[in-house]
Amino acid sequence: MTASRLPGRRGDGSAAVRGWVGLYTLGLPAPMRTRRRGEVAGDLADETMDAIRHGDRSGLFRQRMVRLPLGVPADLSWRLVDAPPVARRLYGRTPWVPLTRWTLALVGAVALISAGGLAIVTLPVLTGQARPDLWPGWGPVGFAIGSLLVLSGILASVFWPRLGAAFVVPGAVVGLLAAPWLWGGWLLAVIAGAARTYQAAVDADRPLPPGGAW
Amino acid sequence: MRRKPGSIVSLERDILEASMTLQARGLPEAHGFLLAKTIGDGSDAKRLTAYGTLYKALDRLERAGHLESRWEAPDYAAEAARPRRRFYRITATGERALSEARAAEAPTVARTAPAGVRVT
Repeated sequence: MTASRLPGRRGDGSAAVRGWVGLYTLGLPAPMRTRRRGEVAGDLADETMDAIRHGDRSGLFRQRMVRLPLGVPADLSWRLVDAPPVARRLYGRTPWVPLTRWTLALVGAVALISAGGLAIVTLPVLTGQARPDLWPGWGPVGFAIGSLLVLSGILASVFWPRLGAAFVVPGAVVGLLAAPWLWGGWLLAVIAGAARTYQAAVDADRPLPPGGAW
Repeated sequence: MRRKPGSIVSLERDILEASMTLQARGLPEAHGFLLAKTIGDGSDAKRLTAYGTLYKALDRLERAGHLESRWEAPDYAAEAARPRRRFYRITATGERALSEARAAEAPTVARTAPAGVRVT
């Protein structure tokens, strides 16, 4: 048995943890990426050995399915806010501008709201349960297009802030025309897009944090 | 809420406490899982800290100079047929931060003591 094979066993949840870590560390410089992946692989191996020692290997899957999702917000915050400045300081300036906690919160809220809105409007259409009498005219179509543009733009703004804003603003306008009663949501989308663009523009002057030993 | 520069949050304090506990047991260095296990054993819930929360906190503590870390020797890990561990050791700065956190908590505990309980 090799060292790399030890922690994984079908159905114990380690593949899900390793898969998630592999996903969120994509795009980081190799030393940072391999360090985080290596640390979690070591943790999984120790967790497995601990479970074997206590004769509770069957509880591993459940334990990991609790530890994994509870740490996702911290993983995202580390990947999007903490790691990029360290990567930039240690491995040279990258074109990508990390999010601040505020822009991450805004972008996350708008992404969730727009995805939810899109799902609420399109799912009944796709499943044949839509009721045109509830919302007549082009409203649902405009709402869906607006939500889709806002969702695409806000996700794109994480990597390309200006391009993202170019999608968010027209999306919010279309959405506002289709569903003016949801003006607060469209305004929030524009604020999030603008905040991300502004933050990216002023980032060059931001002082860099101290780095760890990678 | 913005935290004060140099201050530590609850989990970071737990990690430093766990490092000190393990040090007292003759383990000057500890890997992530052992720290999570020590924290879990000391809590009522006995639950392990989530992966993301733990490694983010370790990263922050290391960048703040409260911990230092190193990889385990590859030969040793290969012999044990498992991936290498990353070992963390509390620094003098970390010990100081922990003392300050304990001292800062003491008056809070006194203020929040239940009614009828006299704190001297």
